[in-house]
Amino acid sequence: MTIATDTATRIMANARMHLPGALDSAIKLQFFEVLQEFFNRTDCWFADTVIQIVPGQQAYDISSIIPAGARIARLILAVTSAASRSPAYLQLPATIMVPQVYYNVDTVHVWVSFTVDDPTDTATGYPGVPNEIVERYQSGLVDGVVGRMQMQPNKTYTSDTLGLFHWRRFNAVVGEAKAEAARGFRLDGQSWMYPQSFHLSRGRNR
Amino acid sequence: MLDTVSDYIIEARRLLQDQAQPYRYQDSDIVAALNLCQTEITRIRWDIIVDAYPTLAIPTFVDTATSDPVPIDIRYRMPVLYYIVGNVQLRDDEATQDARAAALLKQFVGQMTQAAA
Repeated sequence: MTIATDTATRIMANARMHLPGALDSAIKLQFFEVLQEFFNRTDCWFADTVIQIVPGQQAYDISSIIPAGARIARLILAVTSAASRSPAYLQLPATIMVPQVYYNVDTVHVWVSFTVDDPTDTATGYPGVPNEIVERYQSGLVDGVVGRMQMQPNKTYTSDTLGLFHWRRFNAVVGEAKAEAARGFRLDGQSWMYPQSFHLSRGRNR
Repeated sequence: MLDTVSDYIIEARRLLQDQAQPYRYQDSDIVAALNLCQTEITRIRWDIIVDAYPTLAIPTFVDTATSDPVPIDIRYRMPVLYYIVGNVQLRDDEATQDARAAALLKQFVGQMTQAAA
């Protein structure tokens, strides 16, 4: 799971255009931070697994579903075999805790979201993330990188005004991605999303 | 261009008008200025140092190893040259040299921290 070369090239080229004199290593550093914040806030990178409950056992390790270069951000949902919400919770880094002790064999279906983590790819320096998500929200991620870098002091690309502008655009895309992920990327989801003043779309799937 | 210690010495001598032996400014003086420049860069543009030396093992250049590479990003090599020339000329006490040295050192800081400098 890694960013495609074309996608990474486009992102870096876009960022370089906005950041005169910025070093690629500095851009990649901020790109990692932006991706971490993006996935932490949107939960749009997720996976599920079914835990086989063992009577008397409360802790279940799910580290096997974590992709390389990622870590679990949070537990999104846990549902029992009876389709009711389970009070299971996540004990970091990757242990599902089932508070009540089960006396019968059962299953709990859990969904967890991921965010980027070290190590990054040794050859390219990019974190391991689904390329499809990066491609979908590419412009917003570029805004995040550019915004963060432009707000650094005493650099050749420093610009508080433009930095704030790009950061707000990034925040708008974060809101859009969070809403889209929450409604499962369905076309008939809700049309309202926060923040209203930075609507980049009408709220429906493009 | 400006890839090695030797390149910096040659270009600095060109700007210093010090290309005929016996030299006014020794190679050791120019290399010392190069080392001082690296410390200045760590102060004002730490990202350039991290890019040049990812393991943060910043070398000390010597005039006996002039083929050693200076891996500063290509966009910031001219400011390094300006710093070297300005620093070397600081020791002169003629008014014109003082002004030129100050201007070059200011140019170094300007090009490191501003887009159009």
